[in-house]
Amino acid sequence: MNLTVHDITHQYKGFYALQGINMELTPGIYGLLGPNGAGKTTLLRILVDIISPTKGEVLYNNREISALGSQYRDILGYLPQNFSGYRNFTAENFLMYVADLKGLDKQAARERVQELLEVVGLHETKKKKLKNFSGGMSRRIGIAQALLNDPDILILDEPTAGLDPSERIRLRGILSQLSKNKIIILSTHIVSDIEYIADEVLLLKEGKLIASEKPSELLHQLSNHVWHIQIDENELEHFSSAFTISNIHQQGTRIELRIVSKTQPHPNAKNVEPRMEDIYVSYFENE
Amino acid sequence: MLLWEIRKIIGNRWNLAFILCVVSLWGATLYLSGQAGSYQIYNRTLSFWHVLGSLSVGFFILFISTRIFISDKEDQVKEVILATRYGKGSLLLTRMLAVITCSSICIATLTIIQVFGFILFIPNETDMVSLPLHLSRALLFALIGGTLFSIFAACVCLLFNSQTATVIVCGFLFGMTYMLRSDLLQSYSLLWLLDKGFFSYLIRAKGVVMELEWPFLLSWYGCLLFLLISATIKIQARRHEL
Repeated sequence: MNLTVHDITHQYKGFYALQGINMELTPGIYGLLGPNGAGKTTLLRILVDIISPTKGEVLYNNREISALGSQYRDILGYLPQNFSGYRNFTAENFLMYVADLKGLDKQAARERVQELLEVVGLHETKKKKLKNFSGGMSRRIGIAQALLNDPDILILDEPTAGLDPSERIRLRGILSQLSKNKIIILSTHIVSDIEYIADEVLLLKEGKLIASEKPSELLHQLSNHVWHIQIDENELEHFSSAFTISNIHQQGTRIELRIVSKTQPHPNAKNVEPRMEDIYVSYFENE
Repeated sequence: MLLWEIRKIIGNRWNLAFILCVVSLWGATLYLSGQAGSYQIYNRTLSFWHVLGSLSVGFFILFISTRIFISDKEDQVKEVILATRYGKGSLLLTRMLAVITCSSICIATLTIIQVFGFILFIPNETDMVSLPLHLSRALLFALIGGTLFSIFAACVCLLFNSQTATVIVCGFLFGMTYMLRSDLLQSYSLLWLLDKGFFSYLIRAKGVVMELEWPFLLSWYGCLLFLLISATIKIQARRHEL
């Protein structure tokens, strides 16, 4: 099973949202990282076949996805960035409705809905209307609907937005279990989610794919380039303008800085292990 | 799928208020007519579709049933729906069927209210032999008009992707017939077309008689719907929603 993105370009009224994207996706978890406006959502919409690219094509097992039509949508699960669900539907009814649209037979749909309500921890509130759901609960219903047809390709746009830490950990567990035979693409701003579960990180900047690497390889690129130092408050301005700062932590009158730099920024700076956030900052520091 | 869509329309919170409003207005109309004698009640019942019935059908179609074409966008589920097996062409067709079915249910409900009001207010001695014939004829025209107007409003809603725009455009075209005096209009003129060309004329039923203009009117309805459906299919395909 493979999903091939071949030379995708997408243009909105003279503005290039995506430019010459090429990638080959096989089963595994792909984390899509990039600042706002980098083109992440546009790329995901093209992969879901909701919009057509201005140029290029997306192939699923060497067949164009638009030509596959409903055959492609049969193996697809998608959670968009903005999702809330029909306000007057209960959680259970909404999932049954989507299951019907996905072509699941009634009995199978009923069982699958109960199973997924358990998985996302909403079984107790299945009779509650979606208009009474919190942001995190809506997100979990969104994740459940994407999993209804046990998709081969799962595309999640900001799945962890609004989820509390325990829910995020639970979702990471679910996705890790699913990733064996599926292509999972998730876009998120929460860098740690990608650090923990992604097999490959796709970095998108100004509509271009600037890197596609395993997290360990990306981290390796920054080994010996991340520094930790304690400075006085009045030194902060100097360090901020001279170096890429990945974290600032006020400790009384002192400030702890985490700096990404190829050279030692100060004789007192200690070399530390790089994290995914350092990678993000080093690639997108001016965004 | 059809049942889900019908359920969405029937479950609209405005339905109860809508029915209560029609019942109250119809009850008040019959009560006031009854002051002038049972003959007035009989006449008023025959003209039920002329104002109250037809306006109620128009309101139901524009404010309640066409909402299913816009609720995906409002409730932020459109992208989820479009990514499902039946979320494109099949769903559109199902929703068309749902609005037609619901407009027929609405017309049937209004007929029940019409007849029930008549039975409640009319004295026993009134001659009711010709009433069923009149009512069935009116019901038939209302059903045809309701179906055609449902398709028309659904297409306009899909084209504009906005219920407000649909209410303004379709409301204007549907409402013109109440403002124009049919008998003073020259056949085939623009005002004549506004009076009879947008389905409210059919739903009003009372004024519908076999006229010389019928072949033209039928061709007009056919062309109008054909063009509108073709435009909808083209636009939906361009939006990648078919």
